[in-house]
Amino acid sequence: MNKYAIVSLLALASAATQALEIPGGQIHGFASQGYLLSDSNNFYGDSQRGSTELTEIGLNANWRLNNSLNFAGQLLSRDAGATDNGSLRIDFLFADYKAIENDVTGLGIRVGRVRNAYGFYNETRDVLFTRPSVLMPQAIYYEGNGLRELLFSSDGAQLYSYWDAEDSTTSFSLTAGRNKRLSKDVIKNLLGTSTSQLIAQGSLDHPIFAQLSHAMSGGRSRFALSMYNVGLDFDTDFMGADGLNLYASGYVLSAQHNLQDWSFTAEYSLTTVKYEAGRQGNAKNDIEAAYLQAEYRLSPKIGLYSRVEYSVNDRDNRNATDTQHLVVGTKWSPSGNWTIAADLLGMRGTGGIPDIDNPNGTRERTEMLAVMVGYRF
Amino acid sequence: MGISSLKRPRWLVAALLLWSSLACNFSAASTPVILIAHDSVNVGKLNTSTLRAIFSLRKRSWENQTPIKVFVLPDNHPLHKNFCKTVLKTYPYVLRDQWDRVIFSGVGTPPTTVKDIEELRRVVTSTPGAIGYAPGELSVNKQQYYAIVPTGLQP
Repeated sequence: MNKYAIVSLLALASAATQALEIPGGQIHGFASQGYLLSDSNNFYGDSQRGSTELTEIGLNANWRLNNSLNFAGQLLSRDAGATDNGSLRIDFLFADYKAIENDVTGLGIRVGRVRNAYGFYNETRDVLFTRPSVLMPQAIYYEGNGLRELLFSSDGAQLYSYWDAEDSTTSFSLTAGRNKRLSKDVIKNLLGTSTSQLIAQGSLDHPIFAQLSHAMSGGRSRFALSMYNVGLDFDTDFMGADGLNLYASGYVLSAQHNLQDWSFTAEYSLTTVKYEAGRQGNAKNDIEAAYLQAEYRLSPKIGLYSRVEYSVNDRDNRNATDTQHLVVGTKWSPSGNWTIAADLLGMRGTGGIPDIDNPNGTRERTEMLAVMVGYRF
Repeated sequence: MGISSLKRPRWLVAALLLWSSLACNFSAASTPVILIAHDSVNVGKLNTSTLRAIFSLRKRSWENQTPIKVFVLPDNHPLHKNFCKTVLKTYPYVLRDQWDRVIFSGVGTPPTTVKDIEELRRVVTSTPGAIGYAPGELSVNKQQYYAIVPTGLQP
């Protein structure tokens, strides 16, 4: 069904090479199809035999009622192996009220389903055109192991503001979401197939995200500090057994420097997870991750990039839980509407490998080719 | 002066890899760019910081409360590249990244892209609150433009 959706959307969209203008707003969209080929482990579908189970389709609209009130929304379908099933969902949908605006500052609030500011890329992570490569850096963004659902968006309110100086701008956003029930798929993705069978229901509690960012020289250099705090509450199926509570909090440091031909990006994150399992006791571990990416533009249409990633699932037990990824890739944009990108990944360790695409267990080493073609308007 | 007009041999870049090109060689634009705006807008006071706020889509309305409407040429148009480098003093791809983040996260009103200079001039002069740009030699009403001396990007 999903494949039919992409074909029909592409047919519809291929007529549009620019945004569709509506009174007071615009409509934009994108569609991307990936192909993955790997050894040793599966990554989104049966990629050891070649998988096309990576599809992203989105359609969004923005509409300006007046100077202070904007509305925006996006529908998204994403298929990613066993981790995402391609069902159509509301990606974001909010009212944006800008209370203050003058020559140097602005302050406003967004209410509805808003995207959480986390690192440089979380807000647009499902759009090939805004990602640093075919696959998001698994370090920091935790695409394969279910955390993306927790980081993604909040149903709540987002306060935002900025201050412009002569050659820089500083922005701040604070997002508070309400509690939400986690789907069975998300629980399976987070805890693994066997543990998730013990869980009757789970919820995400009191998510809070904050980001302070600073851009200099029109965005040629930019820096961000992102912080977050979420709770996870799982109830078990067994009578008398205690539930499991998790509290995850952490921060991300991000830096980027853009030159005419080169861009350098680095992000570092530290996440502390506290487990409370009643009589089973409590535990705590620190998850640490970082990556460094260099990109070179051969021309405005062709870019080459290379990235090293490092992550540990337990900082006190580095040797047993570390993962390293080496990524080289290229992006070709024959026009503003089309992009074709290809990544070669060498992975050591199992961080970022989706457990539920590998029901028979994961292995230590994976090599992978990931190709994706994307269209936007 | 577009990126494609750089004459450095590809093989040299490849051979020297990172460090040779870290020192960037900006150069001033050859064609002057001027800002144009609708009659309802007083652009006389705009400095680089405010222009960046407008073209990065943070600032949404003029002082007289007219909504700002940003019109631009395609990313690969030489005049657009000139405008980014000499007026906003940034790279076209950096501006494009900013716009794409706005478009796909819904946090602002994206600019409207038109196909050529003539259409840009026509739509800006006929849309209240509109701002855009034009080649320096284009003859326009004095109230409709604000000339900016091209200084080029500073490394």
